[in-house]
Order: sequence, then structure tokens, then C-alpha cells
Amino acid sequence: MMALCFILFGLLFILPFVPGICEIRKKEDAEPLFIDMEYRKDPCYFSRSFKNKLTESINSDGKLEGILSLNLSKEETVEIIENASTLEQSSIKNVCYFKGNFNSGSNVSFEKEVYVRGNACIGESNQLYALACEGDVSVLKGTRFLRWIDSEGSINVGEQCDLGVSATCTGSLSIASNCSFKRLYGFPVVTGGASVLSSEEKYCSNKGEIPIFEVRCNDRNPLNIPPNSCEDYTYITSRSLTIGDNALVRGHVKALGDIVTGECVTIAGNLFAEGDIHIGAHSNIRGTVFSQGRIILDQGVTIGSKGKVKSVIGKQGIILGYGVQVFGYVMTEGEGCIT
Amino acid sequence: MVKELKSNILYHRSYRKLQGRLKSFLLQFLLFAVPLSAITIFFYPQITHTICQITENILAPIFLEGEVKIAEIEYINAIGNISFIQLPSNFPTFAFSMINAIVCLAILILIPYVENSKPAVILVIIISSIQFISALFFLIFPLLFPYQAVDYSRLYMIQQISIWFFVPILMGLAVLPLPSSLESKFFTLAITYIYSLIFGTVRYVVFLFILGRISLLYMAVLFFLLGPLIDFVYIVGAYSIHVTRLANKIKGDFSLWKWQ
Amino acid sequence: MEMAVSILKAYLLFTIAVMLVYMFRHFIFTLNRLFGEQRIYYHDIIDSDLKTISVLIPMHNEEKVAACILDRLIKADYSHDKLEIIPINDFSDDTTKEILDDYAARYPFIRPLHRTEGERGKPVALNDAIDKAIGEIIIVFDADYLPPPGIIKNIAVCFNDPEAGAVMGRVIPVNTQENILTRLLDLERAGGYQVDQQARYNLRLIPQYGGTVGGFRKNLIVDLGYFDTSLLAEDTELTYRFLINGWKVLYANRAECYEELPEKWSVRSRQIRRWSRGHNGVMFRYIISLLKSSCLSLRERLDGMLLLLIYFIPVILLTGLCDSLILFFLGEMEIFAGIYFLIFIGAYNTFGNFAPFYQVGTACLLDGAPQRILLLPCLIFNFFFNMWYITRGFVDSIVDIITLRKTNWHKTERFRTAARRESAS
Repeated sequence: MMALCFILFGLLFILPFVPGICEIRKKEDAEPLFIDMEYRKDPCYFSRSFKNKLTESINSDGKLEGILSLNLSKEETVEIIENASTLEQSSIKNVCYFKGNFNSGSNVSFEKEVYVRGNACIGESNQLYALACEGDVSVLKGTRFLRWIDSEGSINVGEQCDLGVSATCTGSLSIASNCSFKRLYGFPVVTGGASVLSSEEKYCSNKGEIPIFEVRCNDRNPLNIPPNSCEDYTYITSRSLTIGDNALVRGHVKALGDIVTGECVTIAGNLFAEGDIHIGAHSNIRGTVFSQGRIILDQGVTIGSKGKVKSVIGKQGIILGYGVQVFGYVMTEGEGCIT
Repeated sequence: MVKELKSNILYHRSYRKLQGRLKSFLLQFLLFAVPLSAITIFFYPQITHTICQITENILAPIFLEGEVKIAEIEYINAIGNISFIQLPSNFPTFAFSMINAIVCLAILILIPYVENSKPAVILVIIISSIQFISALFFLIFPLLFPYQAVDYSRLYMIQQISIWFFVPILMGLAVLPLPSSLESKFFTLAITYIYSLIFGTVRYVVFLFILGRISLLYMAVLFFLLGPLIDFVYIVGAYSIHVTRLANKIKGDFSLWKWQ
Repeated sequence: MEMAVSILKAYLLFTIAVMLVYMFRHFIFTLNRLFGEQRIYYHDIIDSDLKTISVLIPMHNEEKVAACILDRLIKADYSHDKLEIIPINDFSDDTTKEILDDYAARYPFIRPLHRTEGERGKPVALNDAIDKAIGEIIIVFDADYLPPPGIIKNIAVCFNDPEAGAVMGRVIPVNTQENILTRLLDLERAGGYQVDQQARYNLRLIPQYGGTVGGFRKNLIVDLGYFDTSLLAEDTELTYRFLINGWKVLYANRAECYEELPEKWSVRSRQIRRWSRGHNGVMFRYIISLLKSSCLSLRERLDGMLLLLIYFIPVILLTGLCDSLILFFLGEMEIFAGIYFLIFIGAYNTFGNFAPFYQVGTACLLDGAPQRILLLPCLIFNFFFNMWYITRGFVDSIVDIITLRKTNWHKTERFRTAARRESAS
């Protein structure tokens, strides 16, 4: 009986180790964690990936007409269409490849990706899974993208559109009011419609390169920067910071709280906040704007400058007013909208 | 369907997390962990008595008649007494202590020359050190050794009550916040608790046998290295099985994951 | 005698209190990482104003691994105009020099530094290379690492934050399949990075710069006096030096890079003993100035202190166990029957291995690596091993201070075979 107790004690002690010992022997999960060794930050990742797969599949198939069955991420039916078609109130279930221009009517639904070699005009209240276009894209009111839209030209988006997860282009991305987004990439991204682009007038007079001073301000935890001041420092504060109207800060700004600027403020460097960032009307931020909270850009704000790529990243949300220009990338994991 | 598709871009593991629900956790803690701990608190007299009866039945034939019996001490007055086993100790002879000391010393001296950096070796060093100190104590101050087997028995039982009280709480804190099903959580807590009861009982029998029949010399090693320390082996074991099953289940369930 | 017993009991209670603090801290970190708001790093920033980067790779007899890391860095997604790679050949007597010269001949942005005179060791080598480097930002990789192409940008982008002094990425073991040691270390790493570092970053505490897969501002380290060559843990020392001078260390959970783990227990024992010696050396030097620093918030100072003491805790544990043993032989076993001793056992058990079992389990859950969680009970063996060698490292650090002994730097042995070299390339 005692021997049995000893054996039982041994078994009860060893039993918790048994699953681990089995795993060591079987090596079911012994591989190192996967790291994508080709990973690069690419705002146009979705469309590039789709275009590469589509082009490869078409090239290997050989022909470019009719209806093809191609292996993209899985077997897909791809319709090759010659030129612009106007479809009203239809639902298209296949991947569409337009060899020329494309115009859709209103209330059309595309359940798979659409690829356009020419220019595209998406009618009102359409719903598209995704769109890749080699030319310019015009999106009319009320259209919704479920995943992404990408253009090698410019994109012009009408009111009340939903731009899905990503809207990217190599030219200008102009978006009318009451649209929603997650990620935008354009040169520039401009709100309020294409007419804003043509207006070169700016309220504020600061133009050209502005030097950036990285020396930190002596005041360790400043609360505000006075209006009309010119500061040649980098500001770092553990509180919230207010920057008065017409201030010029030739440095970077970081706050552990919120950052609120008045109108016509110019900041030469980057703007970082743990809290929210609210940029007053007609201000110009030359660097990147990053917030762990929300970002609100009032009317006429400009982020970045021509020829450079900067980012506006607000983890919890981004609100863009009318006439905002961002040269580069806008991203949020919360709700992005244009008022 | 449309919304699911839209949000179904699978971001990287670096910022993903789960939905936490504090109220749900507190409720589960009250419903699962607290009752199991309460069983210990309110029924320890019956639990300890049953364990002692089992132990007595196993050990009595090995000792002389009447040597092994059940005794009681006060614990929480309102609830009752703790039962424990009274039995004689096997006091080590000088020769036995000397042999133990020499063997342990030999191990401590020779082991660095064999392979001195594996965990098993470190464990052997620690066990040998404790055993060597124990053997030395019995060689130099044999009459000053402060315990008999019955002292160990009593204190073991008190300690076990603490373990049985603590196990559901620790498991509850580790397991209940996770998004596994209520059945699996309760099952994990209950199985760990029962395992703890059984393990505690078997260990009690074995250790009392060692102290009463083999030698009191081993009390220090039994206490420090095979005592409450190894209770955490099965606690961690149960946790690991539970979380492995959960991880397998939610790996592909994208609705559970949040980002940022 | 009674006084002695009281002191021993008080020390045991002190040990329990310390263990409880760490247990609580790690539990908070686990809950924060699993359910709390995640503070995102800056990897999504796209900025055309790239900073100039110098990548430093200390190498001493690294012929087994040198070519692999250079092949990887050549493919880095960073403009070669703004990038230079400085492999530091530190007194190698194998074919490291020839390998580096071959790469330098083919790629103008690879500019090896061959050190044949002066002091040997990683901190000294890095200081020499920093002098030579032209980049604004210094990024350091150990020679056995396998950086993906996007990682340079990922690390460099954080310096858009004007408060960032240094950044640390996530290290992921590549040779996990070799034996039980590598599997257990893989678990420790997962818990330490995916949960512990990220939680400290979320809570705005003190993520630590680990000396590899990370970067720092060149002008900052030059102004602050370069790496301290008298300490083995130059990375920890840099973390604290930056912090008390008002700079932050960031943690980039997204900037992942493969590393090689030690495959022998003897190698691991030397490694962890060295880390303990170095880290405790930093602890002795910085603990007071950390607590007095006006650049840090109260919770940063407290967490910084707990982090500094992390290689001291196993020493407290071991002395606590010895203390318990003495109390035992003095007849004070009653103390062990109470709930507080149980809490002590629980606390030190869960604390073990720098990443308690619930932290490791959580990390593997987040990583989507289920089966390896079953190895958690085996970590108990690592626990004694770590306690032993960390205590020896602590003793080394005490001897260093008392005798003003010079620290000799020893590199961790490499295990990459020819077959693994090929697959790594």
C-alpha cells in the first residue's frame, strides 16, 4: 500500500509536466514565431498586392478577353471588359478588369475587386469591394468602398462617401464633406472638393523652408505659447499645451496632454501628443502630427508641404474640416471623417 | 456581413488584445472561485478528518498498534477543529546522520567537476545543501532539533488548509478574465481544487511515512523543496492546459480580437 | 537570541513584501496588455525626411553569422544615401575581417571598422564606431540577428518624437527548435517583450533599451559621454542615463527581429551571470540618482527602481530561503504554516524567470502560439537555475565595486550551422 502511495505521489507530481514533455517530443509548436521578412510600410499595400497577383495570373493565362478563371488568393472569376459600361442597379459578382475607361451608373454593387486601366467614374450610391485604377478616379455622392481604392492618378470623391479601409493615390486625393475614412494617402489629401486645390491663397504668410531648432525650451513644463510669438525651441511638456494665434514655433512640440492651437499657427517640426490635438484654422504644420487620442484639423489647415511626405495619425479618430490639405498620409484606427 | 468584411483586416499581433469585462470577471469570481475557497473554510474539519482517516488506514499497519492515531487542534472556533495524525518519529542515529552528511558533501564537492550548469544539477546542489545542513544539525545538536513528526503533521495540515483556500483564488485571478467558456473555467478551477486535495492527501501519507519510518532527517528537504513550492507545478500545469485550449480556439476567431 | 529571531522573521516578511510587489506589478502588466488600451508606436508614420542612420554591428569572431546579417541589411528598405553600416571587427582572429572587407569592396555604404589596438569589448567598440559614424541615429544589431528589410525605418521613425532618446524593438528567437533550453528561453522572451515591455510602454513607465534591435540619438550619447566601458550592461546604463537626463526610451513591439538563443546551459549560465553582474552594477550606480531625478514622474521613478532591482530580486529570494532555513532549525516552523508564507511561495514562484507564468501564457495567447504554453510547468527548473547564476552575478558586481575590478567583456557563443546560415540568407 505504501509503495502504491509513493508511486501515486510520483505520478501526481510528474503529471503536470506530461503535456509539456509531449510537446517537446512532438514539436508541434516549436517553430519560431513568424516574422514577415518582406514587410515594408507601404500605404498602397492592398492594391499593389492585388495588382501583382492579377497581372501575374493574367500573364500566365495568356489571354485578355472574355471570362477567365484565375488563381488570385483563391480561384476567382475575372471578367475582361473592353471599355466604359454604364450599369444601373446591378450587382456584379465577379472581379472586373476594364481595359479602357469605366463609368458605372448609380446603385451598382461590385462584390469583388474592380481594376481599370483607364479612368474611372463611379456613379452615385455605388458599393464597391475595392477599386484599383491606373488613371484618374471620380467617385460620385453616396458611394461606399468596403476595402480600398487606389489610383495611379488622382481621386476626386463626392459627398457622403465611405472610403473603406484605405484610399490612396499618387496624385491629389480630394474629398468632399461628410465622407468617412480610415487611411488616406495623396499629394495632397485635400478636403472640400477639388476646387480647394486650385486656390493658392493662404491666410498665413509663412512660406518656404523654416529651420527647426531642436534645443529644448528652458521651461520644463510650459502650459502655453503666447499668440504672435516666435519661438526657436522644441517644446516638451508633461501637461496640455495651448499655442496662441499667429504663433510661429521653429521646433517640435510634444505634450503628454492635449495640444490646442489657435488660428494661423505655424509649427516647423513635428507635433506629438498623448492626448488630443486640435489645430486651429489656417494653421500650417510642416512636420508629422501624431496623437494617441483624436486629431481635429480646422478649416484651411495644411500639414506638410509640397515635395515632402508627412503623416497625420490619430489613434482614436481624425476630423478634417473644410479646405484641409495633408501632403502625405492620414490614418486612424478610430473614425475618420470630413465635416 | 458588410461590416464584418470591412473590419476583417487582420492586423499584426503586436497591438491586438481582448475585450475585458470587469463586472463579468467579478461575477465569475464570486460564483466560481469564492465557493471553492468557502468549501475549505466551512468544511475543513470534515476534510481534514477524512484525510486523517485515509492516512491512518494506510499507516497503521506499518507502525505498532496504537502508535498512529487522529488528534485535533482548535482552528476557527466557530467552525471546528483541524484533525491531524499523531505518530512516532524516527530519530536518526549518529551513523545515519554521518552517512547522509558525507554523501551530501561528496555530491557538493564532486558535482562541479561533472557538469555544473544544468538546472537538474543546480537542484541537486540545493537539495544536497539543505540535506547537508540538516545532517550536520543532527550530528552536532541532535537534541536541539525542535520538531517531532507530530509537529510536522499538525503544521502540514494547517498549511494545507491555506493552500486549499488559496488555490481557487489564484486560479480564479489567472483564468477567469480570459474569454473561455464558463464551463471550461469552472471545470479548470474545480479540477485544480480536487487535484490539490488529492495531492495534499497523498503527499501527507508519503511524508509522514518518511518521517515516522525512515528518518526525521529529511524534514527540511521535504518541507522546503517538496512542500508548498510544488503545489504551483499543478497550478501552472492546469493553467497552461486551459490557456492552450483557449489559444487554439480563438486563434481563428477574429471577432474576439481588438486592436489598439 | 530572541532579537536574532525577530530580525530573521522581519527579513522573511520583507522578502514576502518584495515578492508581493513584483507579483502585483506583473499581474497589472498582464491585465494591461491583455485588456488595456494599447499605446501604439510610430511604425505607421510615413515621412520623407529620413534621418541619416549608422548601423553598428559589433563582431568578435563572427565568421559563422557575419555574412547573414550583412545580406539582410543590404536589402533594408532605406535609402542607401542615408544609411551606413559599420560592422565592428573587434580583435577577431578568424575570417571575420576578410568577410567584412569583401562586403565593403562591393557596397560603398558598408564601412567596416577593424579594431586591433586598445581595449576589447562591446562598449569600447561601440564608442569607437560612434566616433566614426556619420548618422544622426545609431542603430545597433548583434551579429547573430536577422533584421527584416523594414526594420531600419521602423526604428528610425520614432526619432520624429522630440522626446525619444532611444528605442527598443522586439527580439524573437529563431533557433527555438534546438532543445528544451531554447524552448524555455523563447517563452521567457515572449513574456518579457510581448507583455512586460509593451505594458510598460502602455503605462508610460520605463521600457528598457536592450542593446540590440534598437537605436539611439548619436548627439545624445556623445553629449552624455558615450558608453560606460566599466560596466557590462551598457544598454541598461544607457537607458537610465537617458532617463535621468530627460529623454525617453520607447518600445516598438512591431519592430521584430530574429535572434539566436544560447543552446547550451553552460553558455546560458555565463550569459545570465554577466547580465546580472552588469545590471546590478548599473543598479548601484543609478538607483539614487533615479529616485532623485526631477525629469521623471513618480511612477516612472518607482517603476525604474523596480526594474533596476530585477536582477537583485533572486538574491533576495535566495537569502529569504536561507533565512527560512535558519528559522526552521530554530524551531520557528509555525511561521511557515500561515497564509503569508504561502503568499511568499506563490509570489516567488510566479515571479520566477523574469516573466511569471501568467505573463508568458498571455504572451503566447497574443502571439497565437498555443502549444508552447504547455511548457510552462517546466519553467520551474529555469527558476532555480536563474536564481543561482544571478546571485553569482550579483556577488561579482559587489566584488567589482569593492576591488574596482576591471570588467572583461565576453561574447555569447554562436551556434548557427552551415545549413541554418543558408536558410537564414
